[in-house]
Amino acid sequence: MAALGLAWLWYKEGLLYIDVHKTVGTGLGAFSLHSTFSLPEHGLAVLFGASGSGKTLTLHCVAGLVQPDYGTVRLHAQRVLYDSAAGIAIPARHRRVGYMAQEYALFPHLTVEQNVAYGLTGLLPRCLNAEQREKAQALLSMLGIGQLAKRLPSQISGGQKQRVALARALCVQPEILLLDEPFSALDPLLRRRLRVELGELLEALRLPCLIISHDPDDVAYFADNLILYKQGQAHHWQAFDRHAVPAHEMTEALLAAPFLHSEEVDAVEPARG
Amino acid sequence: MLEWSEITVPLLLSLRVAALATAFSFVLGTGMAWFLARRRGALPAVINALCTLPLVLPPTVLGYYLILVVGRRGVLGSALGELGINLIFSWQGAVVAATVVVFPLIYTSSRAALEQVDKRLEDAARTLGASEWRIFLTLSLPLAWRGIFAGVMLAFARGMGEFGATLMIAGNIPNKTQTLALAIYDAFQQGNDARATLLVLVTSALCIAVLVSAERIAAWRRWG
Repeated sequence: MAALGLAWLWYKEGLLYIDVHKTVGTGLGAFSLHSTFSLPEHGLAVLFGASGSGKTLTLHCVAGLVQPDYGTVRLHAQRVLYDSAAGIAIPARHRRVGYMAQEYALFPHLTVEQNVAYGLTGLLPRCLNAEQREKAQALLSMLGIGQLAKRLPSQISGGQKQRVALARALCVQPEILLLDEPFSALDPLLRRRLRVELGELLEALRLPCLIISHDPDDVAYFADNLILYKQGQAHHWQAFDRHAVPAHEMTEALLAAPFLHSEEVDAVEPARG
Repeated sequence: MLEWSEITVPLLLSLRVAALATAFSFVLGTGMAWFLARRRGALPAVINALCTLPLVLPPTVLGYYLILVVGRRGVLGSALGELGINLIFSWQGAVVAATVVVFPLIYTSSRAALEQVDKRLEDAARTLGASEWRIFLTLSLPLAWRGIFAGVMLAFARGMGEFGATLMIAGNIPNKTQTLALAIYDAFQQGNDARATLLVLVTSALCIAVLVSAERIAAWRRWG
């Protein structure tokens, strides 16, 4: 009953609410994800944890690429993407989520401009009309790579690829951004600069955003909300005010977080390679 | 003296049969490959085996099955007969035989090529609002075309030389169902060595040309 009351409260308040449960078979046995957390409107969260702890699976459930066994995915009161109890499961292509995959997943046969406009085109992604070209160009210019429109993904650098992927995700006017390790494919210097740029962009767009990372520096920079993952269990840590706590202290606190070191979880969930 | 038409008639018939069979197999084989790629389970495994079967079965066995299906008293054949379509002893029957024979070549290479396409690209397209059909046409197909194309060229070359199943269904009627391979057999049986040699050379040259041009086209335009 209390859970129901709480759910109603979230509903009323119009919060981003994610509650997904999914068991998948792996080579090493079953892996169970139980991820429940809520964020304030326009909230930003970092999903932090080791590889194979269920972070990407959570994003896939939110994006609709994987159907959870049961649960709820809600962006706000009027926008329910998935609700197993109510029988709602909007297909990925109608969810309007901006999803940026690991290593960006740019379409290698399309130019930068055609990549960005892909969400606007039909069966001929190479034929852009004036309006589509203009929109792609505006996004590319906003991200400072307007001059790359005619290049192929193989002809641009890692940092530029990240911006193209971001522009492509933003082009369909998403209601939430899901970024899967946006910085891991970049060298450390570039990583720092793009982190700042992305932070400013997100603040300007006021989009809710889930960022997967296993870099404590990302956590220190972004985390107003931190979701810790361990072997499929999610734990919401909302202890941070990134403007008040120095980055290194936050990193230390994070790495010492009791949840990540507790042995209880091991007893409940089988380890996943 | 050798009549010019003794070469051109079977040659043109072979080209027509091989081209049509390749076209049908391309649509069916690529579609089936798309449907089965990344599907796991018992039923897809059985369908996969059935799709690959023509590759290993003797052509005569295929021909026998085809007669059971599209023959005058066959399951489909009797229905087609009522529509006035008769596949037995007609060049259209040769197309059906060749289609079944070359189908696995396109199916297996398309499936391998489609499975190679990075799943994350398709996922990205899904979140960008693309339907499965659109993803197939705008991503999977263009990214897998090299492998599919290799299968298509192989199928065409194989279709040119189809013999066993064609013989059983379409027979060996000069100027009607006699393809290159059948004409060679015919000429050899009649002791017409000049005709046989010429047909063998034409067939070999054509198949080499197909395979070489396939190689050249596949090497053209790569993206990193």
